[in-house]
Amino acid sequence: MPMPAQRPNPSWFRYVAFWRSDPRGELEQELSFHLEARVDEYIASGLDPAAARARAVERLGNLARVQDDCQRIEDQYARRRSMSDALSGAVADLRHALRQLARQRAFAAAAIACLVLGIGVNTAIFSVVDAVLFRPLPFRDPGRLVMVGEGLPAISDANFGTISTPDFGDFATLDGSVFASASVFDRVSLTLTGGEQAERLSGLEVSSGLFRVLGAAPALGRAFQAGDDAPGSPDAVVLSDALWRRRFGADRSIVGKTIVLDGKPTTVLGVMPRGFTFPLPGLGLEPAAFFVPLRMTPDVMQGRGNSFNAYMVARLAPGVSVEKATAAVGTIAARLPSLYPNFYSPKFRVTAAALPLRAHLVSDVRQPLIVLLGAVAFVLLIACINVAGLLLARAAARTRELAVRRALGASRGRLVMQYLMEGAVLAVPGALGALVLAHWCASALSRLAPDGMLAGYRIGLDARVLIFTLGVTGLVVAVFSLVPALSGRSLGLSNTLRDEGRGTSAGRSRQRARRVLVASEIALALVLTTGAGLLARSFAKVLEIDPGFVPEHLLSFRVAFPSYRYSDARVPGAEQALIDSLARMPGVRGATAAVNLPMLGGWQIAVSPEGIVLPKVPLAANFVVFSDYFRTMGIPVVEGRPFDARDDAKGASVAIIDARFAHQFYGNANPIGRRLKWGAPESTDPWKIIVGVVRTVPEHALDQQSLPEVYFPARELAVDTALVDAEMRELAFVVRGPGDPKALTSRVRDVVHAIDPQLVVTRVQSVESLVSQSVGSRRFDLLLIAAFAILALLLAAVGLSGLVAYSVVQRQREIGVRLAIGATANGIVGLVLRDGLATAVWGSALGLAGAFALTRVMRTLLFGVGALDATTFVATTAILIAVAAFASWLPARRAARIDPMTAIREE
Amino acid sequence: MATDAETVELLQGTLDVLVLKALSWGPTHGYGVARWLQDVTDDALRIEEGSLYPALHRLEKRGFVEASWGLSENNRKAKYYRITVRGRQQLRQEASSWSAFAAAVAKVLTSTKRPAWA
Repeated sequence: MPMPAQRPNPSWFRYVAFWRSDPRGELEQELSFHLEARVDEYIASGLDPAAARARAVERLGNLARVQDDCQRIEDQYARRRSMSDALSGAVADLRHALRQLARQRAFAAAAIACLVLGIGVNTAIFSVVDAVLFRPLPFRDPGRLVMVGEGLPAISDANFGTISTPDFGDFATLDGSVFASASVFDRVSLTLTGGEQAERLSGLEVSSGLFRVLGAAPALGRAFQAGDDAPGSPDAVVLSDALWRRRFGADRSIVGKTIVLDGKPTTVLGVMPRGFTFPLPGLGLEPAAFFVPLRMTPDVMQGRGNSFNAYMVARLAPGVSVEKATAAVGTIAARLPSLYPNFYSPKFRVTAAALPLRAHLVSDVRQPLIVLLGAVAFVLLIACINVAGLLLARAAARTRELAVRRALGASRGRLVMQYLMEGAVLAVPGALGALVLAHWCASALSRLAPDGMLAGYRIGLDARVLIFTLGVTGLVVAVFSLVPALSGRSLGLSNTLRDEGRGTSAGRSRQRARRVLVASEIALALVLTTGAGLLARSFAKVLEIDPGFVPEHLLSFRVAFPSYRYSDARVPGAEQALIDSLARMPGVRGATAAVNLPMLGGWQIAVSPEGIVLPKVPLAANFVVFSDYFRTMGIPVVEGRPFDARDDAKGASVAIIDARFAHQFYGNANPIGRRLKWGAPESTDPWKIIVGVVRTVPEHALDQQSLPEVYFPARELAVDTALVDAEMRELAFVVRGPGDPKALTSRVRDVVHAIDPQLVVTRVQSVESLVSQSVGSRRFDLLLIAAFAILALLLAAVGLSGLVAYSVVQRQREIGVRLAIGATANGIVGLVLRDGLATAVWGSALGLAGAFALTRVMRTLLFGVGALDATTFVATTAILIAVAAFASWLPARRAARIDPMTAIREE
Repeated sequence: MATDAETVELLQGTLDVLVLKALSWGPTHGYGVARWLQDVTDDALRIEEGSLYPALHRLEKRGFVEASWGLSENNRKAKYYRITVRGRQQLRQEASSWSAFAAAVAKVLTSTKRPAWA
């Protein structure tokens, strides 16, 4: 790059000041000329000299004031000049900084790369954390939204977070006093027909007030209004934007048209806007494709107190606090048993509580997100220190320049200013690059996050994120510019000049400062690596868990038998027929079906083992399964027998329990032949005889403790209550194949369509992938933290390598002398390695202390390892020392190749 | 020479425009400015002459005049002030606003129109 022509320095007047006589003297000279001229004039007009002088003085007036006034003008002007001086100084610094960078492109590239990485990943993670934890939820005035959940202290101290649908009618009486509006919703799956292909969609049944509560208006048509959810009202649906675009080609004239849902012609009332996603992740529901009215039919009302599956969301009335709302719903809940004695045992207490919507949504993700934010902050810190280290090394090379400038009278402020300017010149492209990286990372994150953890949140670069980046960049510039500036301060001027003059090792204190920086970098990297190590060990432990069944070669999918094609009576037969056809497929080793599968969660039910007195009615995970379930899934039957053909509606009521259930309630006694009951001991449900004990399988996830498990035979339950009937219409089918289960997919579809071409096969998935999904968020956290740790290690290694390389240059002469008097190349390598490793050891000691203090914040993210797991600490320290050794070895090898003669002569 | 009773108090800022007017005739020193003002006003404005110097210095800092040292007619060292282009612009502006002001004040003082309340 050609040197720009040197411009005339705008600060020339600084040098003029050297020769300018002082303004006070000049004024005196001016005034005395005036006085003398006046005296001459008066004398010429005939006055005697003494009188002439007196009159002239009188006429000139108060000289002291004149001098003061002139001084004030002089001062004012000087102030203004020093300001413009500073400004032109800054411009000169900027030009200087740009020239410096143009000359040292490798340095500039390294520094900017560090900044892009450090600031970029921070901005990306911040944009996610901000969207999920800090920014208002994408609803109107979201801080006023609460979820109401009921609880049954007789079963569990925990609030369910959900309510029994019929109870909504009682809570809704608070509408207008405690709540501005209230609504209830529940998940529903419906079959959409009428296109080329029938489609099974998941959506929500909602009370008419939901959109009013959320403050969400449709983009087309209208949302539900009062009366739309009255029993007997016409079938209506509000579509999500996603479904409208995908299935209906964004047809703007769709409002008022009719679509067919579960065989029923249904009028499209409206379409929600693009940004509207509901429910948000965190409730365990997927975003709804459609919304249909939730009707309080007699069937639904029969489920009071029986199932607690509905979600109640309400907007607090102005001035009402969450606590007040909790008290109000609690009072209503307490009255429920006496109001509805047919549904709630009078001995049962019912509780209810309101919880802010946000707290409800983020309870599971808050901790991991905060840990992630902390981890990227570490990466940023390391990146900063690296840049500071680079600047420091460069400052060392420029010691002489700076010392000369100081000697010539440049103020400390000016020199600090120059450092800041050089920092800013690095930071601006760094920040711009970081924004590009962050944009890319944030969109990748929201795509890769498991279970749609981030679906519906507006993640991306907005004003808040830009302000964050700006703030971080400013901070970074301040830190890495001021560190070298301040470390330069301590240098005695004359020392530096003398040092340089003699050509001995320059700026030892600067080298020491750099050593401290690199040591702290290593410490930070070690903390991060230890965190990643703990997560990795946790993950390994999770993967070691025996799931209790054999997920390999299993294919699962769901098929619904909708009521418009299958009467209640036909459902069980059709389901059994499908199982039989699947089992007859060539190569298939087994086929079965169940209402719930492991990893996807059973029904939570209360069970009462007969003859055991317990303080609370125990909760159990309930799986309703078809025959051949245990054999097909590979779940060993430990005692007794599996379900078989006997276990239908005509036979005796039976149940199978898992080993944990047996152990928890029967200890070492044989549970076969004992009886248990669905619900509280006084419920009217029939006693069920335990016929078998099977191995425990994970209900939700490999790494989560399951409730005691209890299995009921599907064929016996098929004619039970209306609620069960609805659940029984959609089953998970499982087929065990010989090899890759996905290879069975098309044949499975053929078999289903051979039975009924209108049946829809959904959620085709290998059971292995279900297992792996169950630890998806753990894997996600691990991958991110591990990536950050690797980044941190790399950055720290670069920092250490730079430090050692620089000290080799500084000690070139010493090394030359050593080689000349007989040191071996290996000896020199050892010498330099020791130098690097000493720093690494210091850093590691510091890092271990930090890790001891900090890993406890991740305790909830760990599995099977303690926050102070010794193996992890030792292993990560060893990795770090190995990396440090390698980073030091590279420059050490170069040191050994130094030619002693050149090194000694080079002065 | 006027007596004390006949001297006129100078309005704030007026001195600057008088100085600029004086210098518009050509460069001179502070004493020259004082003499010229004395002559053209028949000494009616008995300026405290020392106050010319803050005015000159202020004008210099604002770039309306330039100063340089030179020799006076009788070979004394004196500081000469020269009006700049910007100084002439300033003078034109000030002069016209002064005339407008003076005319307005004169109108009021010579008015014979009786106000509504009298």
